[in-house]
Amino acid sequence: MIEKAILKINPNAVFSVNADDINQITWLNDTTPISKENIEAQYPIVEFEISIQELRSKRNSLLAETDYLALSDQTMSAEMTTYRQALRDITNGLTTVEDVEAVVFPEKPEV
Amino acid sequence: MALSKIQAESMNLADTYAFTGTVSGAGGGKVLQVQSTTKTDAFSVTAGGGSGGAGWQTVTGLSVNITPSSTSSKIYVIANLNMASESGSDFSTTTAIKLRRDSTDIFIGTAGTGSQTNSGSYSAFNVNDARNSTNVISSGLDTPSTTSQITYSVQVSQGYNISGRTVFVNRNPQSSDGYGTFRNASTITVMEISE
Repeated sequence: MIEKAILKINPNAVFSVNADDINQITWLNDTTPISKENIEAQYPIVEFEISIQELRSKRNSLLAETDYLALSDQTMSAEMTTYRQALRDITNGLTTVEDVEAVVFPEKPEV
Repeated sequence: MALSKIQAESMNLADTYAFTGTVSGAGGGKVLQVQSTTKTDAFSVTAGGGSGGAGWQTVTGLSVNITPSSTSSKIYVIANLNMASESGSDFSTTTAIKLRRDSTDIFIGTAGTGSQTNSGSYSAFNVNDARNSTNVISSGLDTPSTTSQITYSVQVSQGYNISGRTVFVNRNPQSSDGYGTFRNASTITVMEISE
């Protein structure tokens, strides 16, 4: 969290962090120190990016389960097409961690 | 013929005996003392993109002091770190560690050419696997030739020492509370071995 928040502010920063403690940051290679307040202000953005990354990972796994149905020698049902499109759209409109946590995945239709 | 001398008529192995004599000529290799430090919290070193790398950095809280009883003593040093690495791009990530006696590198490979890095131990990871971590171990028998207190410590580096990577100790890159996240411990142990 701290690492990603710092890189949001200064993508070129070089630093170490001990004990996941914002008070134990060592700035290296002449990196200009960033205030604790500015780092903490990035936390909601980083938390959202982590959570939506997790969501995308799970979504991609579910899509992969039915990818074979898109092969030319297979016939995809309308229900399956709707299901897969719902998976692709599942990140639409999400802007907060709470939005991500409230996502309900569509039910996979019978093949 | 060398024989042990037992003056008692019989010995009951269940009893406790106090030894007051001196053993000499028994040879070396005895462990005279053991010191160890365990680090249970996390540590990370990050080099942002375009920064040129972070180089070697000492792991906070993972050092151990020992005062050899003789200048002829050897010190067996072993460090076991749980480590992970993360990059922001689609290339593999790596970690490396090396041991230090005070400010001197020990047990490292001969310096290579060009951009090669000489280290003690090295581990490679799959591309951006946020939940992957592994144990990286470095050990060796040191000859400090002193009876003054010495400090053994560990330095870590992103294996390639280039920008855009973070190396972690005792945690994996996944910093959220989600599944697949582990918090681990790392140790450094030193043993004084008589000559």
